Amino acid sequence: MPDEKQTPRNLTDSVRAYFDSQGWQYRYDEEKGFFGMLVKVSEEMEACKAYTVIRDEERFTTFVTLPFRVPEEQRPLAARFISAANYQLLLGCFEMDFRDGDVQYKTTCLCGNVRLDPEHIRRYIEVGLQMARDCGPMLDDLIYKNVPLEDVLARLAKLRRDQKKR
Amino acid sequence: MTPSLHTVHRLLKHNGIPHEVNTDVSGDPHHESILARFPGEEGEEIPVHVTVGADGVFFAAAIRDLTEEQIPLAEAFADALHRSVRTGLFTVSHAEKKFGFTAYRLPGDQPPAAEELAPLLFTCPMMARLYGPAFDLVTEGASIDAALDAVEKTDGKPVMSFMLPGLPGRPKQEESDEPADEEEPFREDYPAPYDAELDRGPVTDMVREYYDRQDWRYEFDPGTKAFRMRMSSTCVDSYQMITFIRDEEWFTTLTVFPIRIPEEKRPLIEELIARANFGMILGCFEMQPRNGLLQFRNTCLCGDTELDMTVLERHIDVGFRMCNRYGPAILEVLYGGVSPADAVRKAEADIPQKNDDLPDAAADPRPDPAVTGLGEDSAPAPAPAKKGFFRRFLERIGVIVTDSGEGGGSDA
Repeated sequence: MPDEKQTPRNLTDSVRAYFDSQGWQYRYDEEKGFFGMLVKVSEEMEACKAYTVIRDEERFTTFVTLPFRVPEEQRPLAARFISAANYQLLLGCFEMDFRDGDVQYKTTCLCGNVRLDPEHIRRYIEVGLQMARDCGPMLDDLIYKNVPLEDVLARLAKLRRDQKKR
Repeated sequence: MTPSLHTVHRLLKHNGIPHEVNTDVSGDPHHESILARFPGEEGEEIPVHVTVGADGVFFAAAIRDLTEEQIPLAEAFADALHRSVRTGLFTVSHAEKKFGFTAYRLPGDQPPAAEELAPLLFTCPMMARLYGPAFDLVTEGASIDAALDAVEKTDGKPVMSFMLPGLPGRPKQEESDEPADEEEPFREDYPAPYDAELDRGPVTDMVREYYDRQDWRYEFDPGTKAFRMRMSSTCVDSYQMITFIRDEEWFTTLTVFPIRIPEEKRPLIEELIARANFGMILGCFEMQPRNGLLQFRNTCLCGDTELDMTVLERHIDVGFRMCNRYGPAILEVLYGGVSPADAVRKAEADIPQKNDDLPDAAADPRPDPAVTGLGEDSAPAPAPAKKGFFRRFLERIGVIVTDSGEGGGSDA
């Protein structure tokens, strides 16, 4: 671990400045080096937990965790949806913990100890919130409302088409 | 997408012609094609296929379907038209029973410019629209000369209104409200838009410097701004590694697995990559659901930040390293009858964190995340003594060091 007294905290300061600029209410844990907050990304879901973790002042990773877990017997099915959702993304991906069924979207910015502009940080953080908003309800429908995978994938494809048009 | 195909795509997009791009990022140019749907008469469409291969760019418009009896008539008609057509060729396909028009651009040292491809592309539907009705007259009993006389008198009016209203990369005269290549939240395709004037740039130069420093033998395609090379791992030969530069702002490195996943195995591989992706810090595996193309993707959005070479190394090499790690697992699932869980467990045996034998989380009540609600104190609580979800989460993201070693993912 770098000596925090000696190492400039460019990344932490940049991320903090971005969070402050958004007016978000968050808690920064100085000791563990992460920002945490709850975010209501969709009316269809409960709030998601969002964490931005700074590692060694050289990268930050943002996790947006969906507010539900996938039951064990449904995890292979969820994996199929996640695989489709991840295809053709630019930044980040969904991941599922097969041990407990937690699903989250993660993005990592590995850039070294540099000061980043807010726009740069925004794109890394907001993509996770956007993906949780768009795909979280689909996964919820697949797992808890027994919507067939084909129907959910069709919704996903339509979403992609609409986003392309925009 | 090859530069030629991309130029065609931009020409069509610029002129508002609906089309479908069928690209294949595995690098085989014969898989790349575009089906454009030009407007015909009375709401009909004129399909034009564009394919790009090592032997050039090939344009083909289908003009009319033929009956067996019409084939000799179509051949005579095509012969008559050859005398007056300078670009392209009218063709009669016996196998498909179609009368069509084709145009062809030979391969050259440089990717063809839009100005070269546009006349070929737009000639195809124009010929179809002009001579399709003439052929109809012939099939109805008119002589070829009479049919041609009837349709070639256009009184100076353009045959098609969209004929070359503009080329991409140049502002249109009348409409300028929409930028030609607006950034999209999801990529339509990996390659950056083709722009010959931007063959160099800060991100391109940075990546090139890294490739050169590694002494790698690579090809750089200035059209798509892509660095391509092949690598072999301990278990699989000929991974393709492609680094695309986008907008001189970010780069994406794809490491393409050389084996397509058969359809019946895709659910297993989907589970495998979902398991493998968990805990990775940089990048992820992804599979094209339709054709089973499997690849590792990592994107670095760097903007104008000058990255250290060690940072670049981690971004660019992570795909190969992950393919090296998980390649045997993929083969075991494909050909060895091993379950995805067992294959991934074996591949990750030397990663202390992932090998951590945690209790089944499904039986673990979800702990209070210590966030009391939106807009309120939202700090995670101190890690509970019991290894619950939150503690494991903190371990995984590396803010708590596990007993078995440093926390973190498996990216490097």
